[in-house]
Amino acid sequence: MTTVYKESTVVLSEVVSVEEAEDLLEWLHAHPKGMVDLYDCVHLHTAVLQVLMAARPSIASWPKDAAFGAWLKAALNDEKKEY
Amino acid sequence: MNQLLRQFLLEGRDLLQSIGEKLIALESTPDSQELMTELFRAVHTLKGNSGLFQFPEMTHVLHACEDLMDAVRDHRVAYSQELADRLLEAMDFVSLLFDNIEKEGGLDPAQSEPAAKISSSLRDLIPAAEEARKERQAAGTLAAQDIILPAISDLPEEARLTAFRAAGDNGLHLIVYRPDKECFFKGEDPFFQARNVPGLLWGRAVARSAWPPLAKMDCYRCQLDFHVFSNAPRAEIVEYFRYVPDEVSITPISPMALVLPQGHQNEVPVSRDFIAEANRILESTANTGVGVLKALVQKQIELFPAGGWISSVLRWLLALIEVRPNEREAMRRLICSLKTFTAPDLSDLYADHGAAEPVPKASMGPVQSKLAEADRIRIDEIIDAQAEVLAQDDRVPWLSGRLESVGASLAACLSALGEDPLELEEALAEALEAKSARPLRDWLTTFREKRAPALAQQPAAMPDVVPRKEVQHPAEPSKVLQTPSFEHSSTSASEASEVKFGRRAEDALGSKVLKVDQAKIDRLMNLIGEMVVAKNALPYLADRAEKLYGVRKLSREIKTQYAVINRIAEEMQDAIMQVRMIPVSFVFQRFPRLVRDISRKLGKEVELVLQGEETEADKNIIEVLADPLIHIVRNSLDHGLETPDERIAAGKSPTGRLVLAARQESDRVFIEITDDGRGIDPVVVKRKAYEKGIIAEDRLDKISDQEAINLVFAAGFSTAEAVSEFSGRGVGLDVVRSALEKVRGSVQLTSEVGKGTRLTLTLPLSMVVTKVMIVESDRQIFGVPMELVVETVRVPRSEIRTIKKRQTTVLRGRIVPLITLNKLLGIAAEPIANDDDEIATLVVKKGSEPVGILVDNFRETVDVILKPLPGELSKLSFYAGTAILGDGSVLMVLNLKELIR
Repeated sequence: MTTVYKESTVVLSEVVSVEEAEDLLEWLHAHPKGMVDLYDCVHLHTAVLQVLMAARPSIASWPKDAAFGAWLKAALNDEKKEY
Repeated sequence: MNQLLRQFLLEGRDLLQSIGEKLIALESTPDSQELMTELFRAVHTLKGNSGLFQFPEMTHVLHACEDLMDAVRDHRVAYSQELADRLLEAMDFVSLLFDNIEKEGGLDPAQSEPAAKISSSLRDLIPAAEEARKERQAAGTLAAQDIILPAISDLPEEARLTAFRAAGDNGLHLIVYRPDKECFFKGEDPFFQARNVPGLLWGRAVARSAWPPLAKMDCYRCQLDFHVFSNAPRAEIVEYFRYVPDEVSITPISPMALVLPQGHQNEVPVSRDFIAEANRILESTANTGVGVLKALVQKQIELFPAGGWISSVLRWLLALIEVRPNEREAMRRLICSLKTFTAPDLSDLYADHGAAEPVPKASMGPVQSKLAEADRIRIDEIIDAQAEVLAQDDRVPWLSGRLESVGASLAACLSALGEDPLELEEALAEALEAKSARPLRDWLTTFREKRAPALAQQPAAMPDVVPRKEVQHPAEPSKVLQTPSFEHSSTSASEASEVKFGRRAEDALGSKVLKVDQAKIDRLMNLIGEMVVAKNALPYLADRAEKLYGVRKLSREIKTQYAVINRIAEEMQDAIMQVRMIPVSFVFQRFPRLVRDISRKLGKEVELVLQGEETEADKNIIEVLADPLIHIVRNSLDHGLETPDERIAAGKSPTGRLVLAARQESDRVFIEITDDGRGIDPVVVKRKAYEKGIIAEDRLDKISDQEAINLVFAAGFSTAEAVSEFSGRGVGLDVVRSALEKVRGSVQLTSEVGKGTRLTLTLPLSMVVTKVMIVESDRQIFGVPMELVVETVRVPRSEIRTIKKRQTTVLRGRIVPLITLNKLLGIAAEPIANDDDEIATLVVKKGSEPVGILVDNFRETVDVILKPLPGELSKLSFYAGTAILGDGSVLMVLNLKELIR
């Protein structure tokens, strides 16, 4: 499993596919204070990425892959001013 | 070749045919709006279908045709002969492409050149303004959505610095990738695509609009854009995005354009000493100075907070020193901006690089076309109308339908204007929930208010300055592209409904007609043939049951059963023959075009009359007919019919008349080709035939006029003085005759000098079942096709006389030469006479002369399914084929025409 839902954290690892997007959306909706652990994640499908961008959950840990982490940080941290 | 392609070819040919017919029909009624609409629709369908495959050449040409016809339909271009010629030519080309595809399964890329030539010749006919508009529209359909470039100032400084430092020889490109909203369903992952852009320097994902509440979010609609800096060559990037070319904009960016300091400005100014020192270094020509300056700048950076303006300027300064140490003017201006706190204008500096690296000016991304003024007014009218609808009373049962239709209309307007429909959708959902038009009304009011000033600014909004100067807002109407859906909505309502109606009628037709590959029908026919043979074995079985095993009762039951099977088999045979029947119009329909083309080239005026097109015959027969008919019609046009001047001189109307008539008589089809031309002069024919050595001198005076005319069927005969494009090569009527004889048809010619010529072709209805007469000779049986048999008589041996070593007899006052079948077949036996000393004589036609063939006895006539001899045996021209009789024995069917030649 690339997605493991824990009590207050969801752990996304390896490549998270498009099928996970809907479950993640539901989970984040049901757990507004849920955290996301991306440490072992190497890629998110666009659909998953936009779920994260829309939900803005707290990130428990950023991906260890720095380049990928930069994409995610840019998308999830400081883009609040976007139109 | 896959099923879809096969279907396309099948349907495509039908469409081509009907397009050709309609074009010809339009010649006589050029004003027929109905025909034009049908024509347009046919071309449109064909173009649409061709788009399913990788046939860009075909689609290209058809697209040009479509545009031209669209122009004609809307009366922007008048219908003319030339126009028809070019359209027909284009259709011929498409037909050629079809042949190519069928043969090779694909298109030769070499075809793209003629394709381009034809499309441009078609487009030439559309007035220039028209063409430009179409082109814009074509560009618009390519770029499904307008892609708005982010302002340079919106890109994070860090990204710009990275890009600035990494810009190599290939230039620097800013890629804006706006994936299709439905792209996830196509298996695309735009994020992955963006992360793997060649030469990726920096990238980010950006939400297209504010995120909706999570509960309302549809995570399977892509709402992200990607911005990426790449230093790969443009070609490589284009190649990378080749599957989504309309979703990306790849813009070359001059690195210098990225130099734009940003930061808060409430900070202590830089010391004057630093500025003075820096300027001094820059003004000196020594190269070493730059190193000193670098050290200075690095020291200064440490003194200022990273988020501030000064720090930002210093960072850029450092980058310039490191990457482009020669850009001293830029550095000087940057240093100046340390004092002024305003961004330096460097546009004049990198504009010089224009030749090498085009600066993104107004031409960013795909062409941004503006809506025509008239269209915008129309959109406003639509919006106003929706407002009126919304102002109506809410308390009606059909409110939700009304709201949805208003929503749909507004959404169409928005998409035409290039605006985001999200808010509208929300308002609509709210309105539907509340069962009130209010939320929609409110939205519309705000929208119209917002729109009014936007409209006023319209001319000023033309982007012709550097992008960073212009803050681009998505709501600006100048970014609008004309989308196809908008084009559609602007057609008048009546036209739209008419189109829809036609579509529906076609659909209904399509579901009733089944297109089947001929091979399948042939197989069915073969099976039925075998079934007939198997069925015919039953009476023999019954006989055996009775005689061999002595079970009479069983024998009777088998016979009863046989009667049932026999009836069913015959019906099946009939049914399958019906399936194979096609009307002669299949062949006739090509003649209007042929006659038109040839007569125009020959400078003759010809009226073509087609009669009895609905007459049906077996597909094979009809197909065999095609080539002979073309020969005959060409002959008539070339030799038969005179030029208008000659006709007037001969006292005829200047327009010649060519009649193609088909009719059915019992089991044969008659095709008559009649012209009212100059006719065939037997004297000329005789002379020509003599000159060509076809007849001997001594026969010149003996043959009748009719016989002389028939000489035109002789091989190598031609009366034409010169070989023309159409006929006169000496291969003509003899080819016609042999082609017809292959299907057991015949041809007669009658002609009257000055009045005209008539050719009558006679063909069997079907080749499935052949009637043959069984004859017996030397204890063997042979089949003789019935159509050759004139009569069967028994000639008393006493009446057979030998004249000039040939046996003859007199039948009804006419001398008939006699030949024995045994002699023809090389059997060393004499015909056997019956008890009354009479010999069975089969009278057959040899040309127009009767010939008697002596056999031992006549048997019954049977319907058989004639199979040609296979392989090497097919070279035995004395046999027409074989058939299997009910008892399982093989019947050899003779080709008497060959035998008695």
